[in-house]
Amino acid sequence: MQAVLLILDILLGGVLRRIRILVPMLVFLVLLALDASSLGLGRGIAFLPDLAFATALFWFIRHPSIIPIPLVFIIGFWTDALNGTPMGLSIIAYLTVFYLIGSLRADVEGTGFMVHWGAAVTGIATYFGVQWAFNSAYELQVSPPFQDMIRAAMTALTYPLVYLFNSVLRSFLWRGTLQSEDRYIDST
Amino acid sequence: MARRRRNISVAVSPLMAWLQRFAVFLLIIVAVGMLVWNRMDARFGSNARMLVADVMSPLLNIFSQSSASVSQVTERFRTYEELAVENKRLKDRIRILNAKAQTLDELLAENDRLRMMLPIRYKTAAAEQWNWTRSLETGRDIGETKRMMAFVVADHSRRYSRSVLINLGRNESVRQGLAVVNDRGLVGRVREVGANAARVLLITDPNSQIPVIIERAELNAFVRGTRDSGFDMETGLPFDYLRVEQDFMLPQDLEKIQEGDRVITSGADGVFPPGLLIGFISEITPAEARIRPTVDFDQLSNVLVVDYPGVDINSDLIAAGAVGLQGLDGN
Repeated sequence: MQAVLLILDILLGGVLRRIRILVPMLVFLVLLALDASSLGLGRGIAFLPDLAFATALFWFIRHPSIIPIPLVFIIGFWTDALNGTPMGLSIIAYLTVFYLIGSLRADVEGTGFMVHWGAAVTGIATYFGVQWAFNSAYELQVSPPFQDMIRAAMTALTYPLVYLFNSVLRSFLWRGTLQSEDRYIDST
Repeated sequence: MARRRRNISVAVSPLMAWLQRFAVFLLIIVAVGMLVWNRMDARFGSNARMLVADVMSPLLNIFSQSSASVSQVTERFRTYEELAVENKRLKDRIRILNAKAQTLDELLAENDRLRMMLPIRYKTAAAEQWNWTRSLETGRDIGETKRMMAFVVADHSRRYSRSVLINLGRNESVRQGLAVVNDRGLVGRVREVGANAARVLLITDPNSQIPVIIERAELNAFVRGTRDSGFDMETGLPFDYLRVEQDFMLPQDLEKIQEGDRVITSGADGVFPPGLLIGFISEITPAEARIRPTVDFDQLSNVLVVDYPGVDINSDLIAAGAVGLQGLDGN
């Protein structure tokens, strides 16, 4: 299997690298659409975890090399556009979390799940906090924080599932010889 | 080779790190600028927003249709007794409504006869409303009013905005400003239009302002959405309420309003057909009157987009004699 992957890597290295970037993005888009679609849950939808953000957060922590900064901007823009939120709100939140996770990364690198989860919870709190603060400023009145707090808590609680799913996906996409190359890219 | 690459990376990384940090701050400033621009002009970025909605609409359609199918399946699991009780209740309601409609037809005919005796002729907003209601009932377009059935594909109206996406767009002749209704009353108006999707601003959004008539009090007013919620005492479920705008009312007008008063669209803006039910006055405080909307915004699925030509209320007033009387054949 390793040999086959090696041959594939030599022949289709560039394609595989693009697939590695595209698959997490596709997962993110599907989760974003699922979150935005009216699931018939009514008001309950406001209390669902933000799985799309949690997925983006996983890749911010575990593999930031596949998410360049302009892509973070586009992710935020896409989220704002689909959710009908004021343009810029999610972009600010995503960029802030990306920066925060970037500065925490030296402490998280090579540690176990609990430290990863801790970093993720920090990122989740920052994301919802920044959105709430900027929305309050945008509306010129303090938005009720209750929904954001519930949603942040739900996202933090369900993060282990997102971690599990994306870890499996990552190990599938990064199996074979290319792993060392990506470690090198991450280290830069 | 590997050592050489690592050496290069060590040399480059501080510069890269600085550039990265600079890029993040620069993009955050750009995003803050976008937010400020959006605050000043709500239409900012609407084309880009609808482009995203168009791209995502096939995926959104799949999810929404699937969830609707699941809801239909669960609906079938209702017990026979429940269905029998509901059937009886609905039959009773149909009987009452039929009787009311018959009376209303007679009154309209009488009204027409009496109007013929007047030296002027004009079309009232009430007559227009009746025509429009009948068009909903019969399923036919009346006059220039066109209706299009749409499906809500994305509902993210719970956090920072009160809007939904529907699966009709420019390709189906949907355009900005059209009214959106469902069987319970007014839902909102089309705010942004893409090729295959449109965003509907709900009446519960603070940016939505509608001219209304508070029927019993015979008051013209404006209602505005809020982000505040009330709780239904019977079901215990929360609901978004609307607020009667105080800026356009005299202080004594508020005293005329009572709890339970029906609030309908006046049609004065030419966007919403007159007579569409918005809700009932649910609470009156010394400072404000709150309206509970009849539409259940938590369960929005099928809606009608109404291309309403509008009633010129001013011309009605002129015809009513305020400016100059027209002869019998002047119409």
